[in-house]
Amino acid sequence: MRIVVASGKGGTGKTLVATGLALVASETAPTALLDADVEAPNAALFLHPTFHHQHAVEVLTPVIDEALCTHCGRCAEVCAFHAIASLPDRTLVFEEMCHGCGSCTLNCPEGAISEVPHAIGMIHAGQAGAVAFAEGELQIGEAMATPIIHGLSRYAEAEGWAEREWFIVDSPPGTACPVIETLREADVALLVTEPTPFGLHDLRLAVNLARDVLQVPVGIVLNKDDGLDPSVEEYCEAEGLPILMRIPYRREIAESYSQGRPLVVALPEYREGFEALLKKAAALRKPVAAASGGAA
Amino acid sequence: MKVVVSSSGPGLDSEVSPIFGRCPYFVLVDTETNDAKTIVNPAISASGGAGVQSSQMLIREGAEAVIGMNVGPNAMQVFVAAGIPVYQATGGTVQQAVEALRAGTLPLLSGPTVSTDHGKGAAGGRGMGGGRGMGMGRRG
Repeated sequence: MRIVVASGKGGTGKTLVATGLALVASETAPTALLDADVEAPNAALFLHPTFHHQHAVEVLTPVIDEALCTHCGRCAEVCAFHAIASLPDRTLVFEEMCHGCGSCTLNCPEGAISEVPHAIGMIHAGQAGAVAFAEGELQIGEAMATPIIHGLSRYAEAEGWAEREWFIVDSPPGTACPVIETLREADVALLVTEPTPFGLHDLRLAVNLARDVLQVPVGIVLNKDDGLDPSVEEYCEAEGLPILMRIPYRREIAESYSQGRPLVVALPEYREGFEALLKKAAALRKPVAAASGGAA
Repeated sequence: MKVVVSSSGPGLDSEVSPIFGRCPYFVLVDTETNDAKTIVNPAISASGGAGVQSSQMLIREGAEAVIGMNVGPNAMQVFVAAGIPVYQATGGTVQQAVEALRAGTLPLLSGPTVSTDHGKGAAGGRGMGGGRGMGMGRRG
């Protein structure tokens, strides 16, 4: 099953939870972990994988044949992302703003536009102990994380990882397109939060996206739980959101994390918590609707 | 010569705007006659590409020179490609900026003064984070 670890707020502990889950799960069943936080992939810092595969992720960007271009401006007009500037005697393409949609090519009345692949990042894949591991990496200066995440998912599916008993995805923070790309195929979303006003604010957004918009079953992981601010718990209670795991606010956890040691390795007393989290997450999964037969 | 000034308001008496791609107005001034035409910036709320959008619009409006306080890299690249000089004002009104240009006291910019998306917050409203990423079809 595909468990996506997301959060809304950054720095709540997504990677801590995703790596903990993957390490514990892989002891008893086939497990894969994707680091889809492609702007800052760092699960590898904890898992130390050996990479044996890499490939570039490309989007198609337009190239203008100035010999054919009449500078009519149609390409710039149809570009929803303002990636083309049509000047009286020149047409400029801003590759980093292009989403590769192809509208300019389709609409050019002169056939003056062709499309060439433009690399925006890389996929690295390998093995970390028993965990099959892959990460996406967005090239610095590129704006679009979503195609990398899409490419990462497709790679994992081609490798058969999606059929593994545990297929865990470490999502980027936020609630925009890259997060949607990770969540939309989730069986269960684990939203990691912290008991602060910031944690609560962004948790609401993440719940709104995962549960309400994408209709994914949601469980909450309360990290850095110091028992001081009850507002996140009150919100979860009111919304009927199950808190599946609590990780205390402890200096030892921060220390081991800062040393790149996975929590379940550095502090084995948390192993049970992750074992229980796997079971609780699996229990949240929507029953496969035999009647509708809609699942692809 | 027609010069365009990034402006906080309409007309010659408005203050020069500290941002470019997302400034609320542009004032196009004929330096010979001092005739002024105000253009409402259509790119003010663009989620991305405001500099590209507004700069090419100004070129199509016939601007032959540009005055701004800060100009981002994309707009700058468009003006450079079009061979249009960009001058930097330090403040004051549109009229004062045009007079300074006439007097030859405005420095010519050779590169952008700010990074991409500099004016996003300043233009009002929440512009961040929207519109990124491409729609990918669902897996069949």
